[in-house]
Amino acid sequence: MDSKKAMKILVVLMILVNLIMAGYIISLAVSQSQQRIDNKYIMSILEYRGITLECDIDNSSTPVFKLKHTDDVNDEVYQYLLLRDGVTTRSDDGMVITFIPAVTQRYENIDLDTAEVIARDFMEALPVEQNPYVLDYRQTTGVGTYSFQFNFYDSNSYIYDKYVKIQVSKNGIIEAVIGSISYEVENSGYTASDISIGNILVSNFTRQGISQMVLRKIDSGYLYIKETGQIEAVWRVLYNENQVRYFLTKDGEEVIR
Amino acid sequence: MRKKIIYPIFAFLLTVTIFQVAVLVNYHSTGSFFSFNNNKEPQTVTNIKEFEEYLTEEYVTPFEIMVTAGEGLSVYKVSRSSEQYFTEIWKDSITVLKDISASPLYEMYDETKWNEMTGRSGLIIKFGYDCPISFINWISDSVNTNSGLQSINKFMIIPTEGTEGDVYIRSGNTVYRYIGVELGGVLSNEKFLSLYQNIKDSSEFTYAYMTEVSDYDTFKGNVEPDIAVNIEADNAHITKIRVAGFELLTECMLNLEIEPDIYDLSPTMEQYITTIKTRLFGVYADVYKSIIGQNRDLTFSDQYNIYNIHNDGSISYRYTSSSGDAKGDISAAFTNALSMLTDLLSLSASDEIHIYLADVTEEENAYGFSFCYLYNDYPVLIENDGYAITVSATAERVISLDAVLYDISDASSALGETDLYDIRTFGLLSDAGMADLGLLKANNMCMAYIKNDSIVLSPSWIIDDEDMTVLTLTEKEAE
Repeated sequence: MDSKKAMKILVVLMILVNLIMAGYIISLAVSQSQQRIDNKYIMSILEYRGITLECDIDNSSTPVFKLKHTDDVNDEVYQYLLLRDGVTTRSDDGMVITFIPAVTQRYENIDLDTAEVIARDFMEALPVEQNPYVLDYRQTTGVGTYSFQFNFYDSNSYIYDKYVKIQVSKNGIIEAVIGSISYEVENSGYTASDISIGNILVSNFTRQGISQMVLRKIDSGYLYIKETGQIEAVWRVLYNENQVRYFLTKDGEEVIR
Repeated sequence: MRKKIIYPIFAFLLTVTIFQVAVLVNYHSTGSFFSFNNNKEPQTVTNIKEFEEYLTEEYVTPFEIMVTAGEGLSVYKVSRSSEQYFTEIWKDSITVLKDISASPLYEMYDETKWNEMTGRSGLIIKFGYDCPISFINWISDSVNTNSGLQSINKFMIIPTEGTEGDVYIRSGNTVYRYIGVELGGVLSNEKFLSLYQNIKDSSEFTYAYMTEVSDYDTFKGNVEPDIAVNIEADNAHITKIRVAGFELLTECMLNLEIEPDIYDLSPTMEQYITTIKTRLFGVYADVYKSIIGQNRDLTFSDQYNIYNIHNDGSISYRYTSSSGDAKGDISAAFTNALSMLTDLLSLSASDEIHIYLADVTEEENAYGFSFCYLYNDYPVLIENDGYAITVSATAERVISLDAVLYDISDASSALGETDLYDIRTFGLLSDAGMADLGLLKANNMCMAYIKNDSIVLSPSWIIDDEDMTVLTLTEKEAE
């Protein structure tokens, strides 16, 4: 075969491949635009039910990797807290550490911002990799009492069992709960969600009477399922006053914890 | 010539292929075609509840919310405990207050107008006191431009059409009317009837407005026409309650009474004192000296602050230095008051203490805030004094505080009792020789518990005016 003929075949093949890819991209774009229309429809259904959405519905950000739970227990945080003044306890499986520090300081005019500084200072002193922890929410839980939760955010997804929850009052930190889970990436690859978060919301969220329901945050990540010992990809819906529901991204089934 | 063309075509196709592959890879890893930033930032921090929102759910709430669909003989009190109706109406009402703060006043009337409007389909929201407009502005996050309005005692929301309605505000003897006010949430006309129906279905008692059951001219100027009277409940089930001082304080004071030597306290007594001081002052506990008076009152004091725990378990606080001239911002003063109040409430082992703001006053150099306990929708008032907690505060600090601290629980179920009462208002008034409305003075009437020397309290019917008249309900035999 001369080079001229080979070049011709290559060009024809490339045209074919490009046409197929272009067709696929167009079909994805159409489906994305359809998703936007669906989202509007879903939002109107939720609105009709009197449910307020304070966040976007984003179907695209489901977890990419498959994670495997490992039995390693990170002792570093526990040992660090044992050396601090206060009471440190750890759950039987080693996944949750609770620390009640001794009172060492008084903040008479504490407000949310001051409390956040106190919480961040505590967080930064913990012997954990700092960057992946992001402040998930902050909440006023009483007069001069605030709650903060930092979640571990890895490769575009939350690891919901890796968190630091800190309660702060005028006596400083009154309790810190540190959740930790060991895992490794089992394999990678895009795993499409079979059911959209919009459908999950419509199927699972109805208002009881006229009681308020506000959906505050919808995101996705990984959750450890104790019964199966697996780490599954889930949607998380944070609603009302810090209430949480998890749904498997693969089939929309709710994870009851 | 053809050979010259084929290479540019090949180069072009190669570029397009690379571009399309990149777009697809990016789509599958980020979910977006052209966002090439693989590290998507997580959503911003969610503020689940702001402090002001917390306050308007927990402490700063109206005394009563009444609702009727226009039949003045079918009026319902919105329960605080039923499915958040109370909170939702209150939150939507705060938005209404914010809107009218910048709305033009339509008309002003004398108090006769309030009687005329009472009974119309809508809601009446009563603070139970003249709430200063500066406080309203704070909780509604608004700037009031209606300079004539100095306070709000109660207001009426009448949905008219779509999401609009009329709002009548009662301030002193004047009624202010605003028209075409935007009514959001459950207050809109389209949602109002279902709201009314839900509240009606969940209400235990049906009330009637005073003006619907009696001629206005007979009580005009003496009795408020929107007082909710009961005309049918002759077998109302209302629980008795147990009201007792905080265990830590009463135990401490009882032990102190029998302490043989107040200059050489027993270890138990020392432990009580240390616990109380730690809960009140945290790391500053050591700064406060403990002094036991001859009357066995317990005093904690530093240079300027004096806390007295009396032998009945009540607490008073005084700031002994000059508090300065300016009382400052009311929001900061209220926050100071609430902060000290929650310190005191930390002395209780129970987290089921419900307290609501029952009065706000503006004094020359400070603001006054009074609080009452609440149990099952009914206020628990202190005999003679009324309020359980009174605080005087400025934006800088608390000046004084007087509090009687109680844990409250259900006494009826503990005793296995079913308590039935005849709560028909006119029967109660008649039995007390107060049937002539022309001679009666009342800003409001309601069911309440009156704390006296007893620990177990039965409900009473309260006639609230400058003086509080208490009509004790007589318990009926169960049929």
